[in-house]
Amino acid sequence: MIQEHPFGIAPGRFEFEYIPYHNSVLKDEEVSEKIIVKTPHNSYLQAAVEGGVLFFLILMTLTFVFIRFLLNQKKIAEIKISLLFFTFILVNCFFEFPLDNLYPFFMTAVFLGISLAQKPWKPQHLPPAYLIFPTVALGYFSCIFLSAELLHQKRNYPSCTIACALFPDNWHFCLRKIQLQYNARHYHATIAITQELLRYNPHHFTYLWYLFYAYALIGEKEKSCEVLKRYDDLFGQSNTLHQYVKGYCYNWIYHP
Amino acid sequence: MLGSPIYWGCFLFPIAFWQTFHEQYNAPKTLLLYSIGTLSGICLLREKHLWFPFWIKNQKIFYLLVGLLIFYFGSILDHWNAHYSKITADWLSFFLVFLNAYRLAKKDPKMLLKLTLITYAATAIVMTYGFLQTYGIQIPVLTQNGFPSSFFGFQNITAEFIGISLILQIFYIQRRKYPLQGYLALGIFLALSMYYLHLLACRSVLVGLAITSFIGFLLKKKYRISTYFAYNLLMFTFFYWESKHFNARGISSEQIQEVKKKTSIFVLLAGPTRFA
Repeated sequence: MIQEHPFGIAPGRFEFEYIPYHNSVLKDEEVSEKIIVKTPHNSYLQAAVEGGVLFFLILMTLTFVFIRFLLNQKKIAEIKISLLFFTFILVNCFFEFPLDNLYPFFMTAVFLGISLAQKPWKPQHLPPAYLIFPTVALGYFSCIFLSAELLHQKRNYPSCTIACALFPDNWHFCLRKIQLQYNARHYHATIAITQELLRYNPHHFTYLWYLFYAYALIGEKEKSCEVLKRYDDLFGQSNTLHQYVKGYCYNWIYHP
Repeated sequence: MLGSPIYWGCFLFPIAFWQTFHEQYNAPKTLLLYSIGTLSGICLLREKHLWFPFWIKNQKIFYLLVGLLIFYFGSILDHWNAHYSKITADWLSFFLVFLNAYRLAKKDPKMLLKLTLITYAATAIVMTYGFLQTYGIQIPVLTQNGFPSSFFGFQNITAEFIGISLILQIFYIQRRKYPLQGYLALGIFLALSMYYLHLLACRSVLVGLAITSFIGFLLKKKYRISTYFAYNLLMFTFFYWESKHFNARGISSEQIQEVKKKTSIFVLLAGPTRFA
């Protein structure tokens, strides 16, 4: 992945971008239609994949500079405990994803503040007005996040549409929207929504799954087989739709 | 003491859950992070002056930081039609919480001590529910992926919290001398935390703690070679015991297995058999 995307696949996109690569070197048994692997369980690799090689190198340099700063001040008790905290987080980053988990992420911000406050440099005074924009923006994000979650619970099409529009980062909201259309047998609408969402997330296999069935049910065999081939390429032969490669789409795929 | 959102965050993060959300643990904690970030911003806006570690402006590190941000958000350009509300909100929260923690630490020299006491309280609640789960008692509306992961949903995430709590506990114990009863109470709490960590069976956190404690050992002003060997012997024994435990995977009782069969976390189960 790093070789093919030296400038990164963009933050937060590992979970679906990884699927086409899960068999490329060794077979990753964890990836299947039932489990979505959100991270590679190694924050360093994740940083290199999502941010790119240069991002990773700058991040490592900054980490090194910060640790050196802590070591230079290690006589102060707060710095000592910060050093231990960051050691724990950095070691954990080899096996887990502490900065994707909310508690370690929050505590990293807190310890960063505590450790930098120990150096007796003269603090720079700025007018707090500089923070109006980030505070208002974050307040707005909190509100739309909460509204999307609550609307999603109503489980009807209008609510799920608004939830998906408000916070599209959470694909569960958009998936529910597709499901509702599909279950109501509105196959043309299902296709339109799914295609729009696939523009943002081309390897989202659950969207592809619905798109395949929706095309098949309205009799668009060629398009459904095209989608099926994309789906089959993601998972190899061990997927729930592979039976259609051998049957329904056999002639289209093998004797076009 | 409890006036700052940082302290509230430290207490509420480990125990936050909301059954209504699509994912009962992570989603409420995310909302809590954004709320704490917003409240931190409001706290900072109420100040006359903003304290900012602006020293970086005069150093090469400033350019590195700018480069980091350019490459991080620049990678978005490659996929510019994707959505990034979550990433933006996460890092805005991080920035505001960091500035608020910086301000608090400058103003209040006892900040870390207060954080430690709050972490003790949160750990007590998390552990109590975790131990109850070990014996098959759990809140029925809450789904669970790994037992006994308390209010986090996954064993490794709970273990990360306990790991951080253990570091703070060691800090509190080493801070000053206590009467015997004090050492006894703190020691029992520490032992219970370690036993809970054992139940969570998370190797990565154990490795993290082993290396952290070794670094902590090196940071001590005075140590003798015999202490070093005693430390190594202790770690070796602990890992030997833990490796047996990992192979056996025998912590779950039949009762827990029954509960596990009935409950699962939706977020992982997205396959056709589940979403159709």
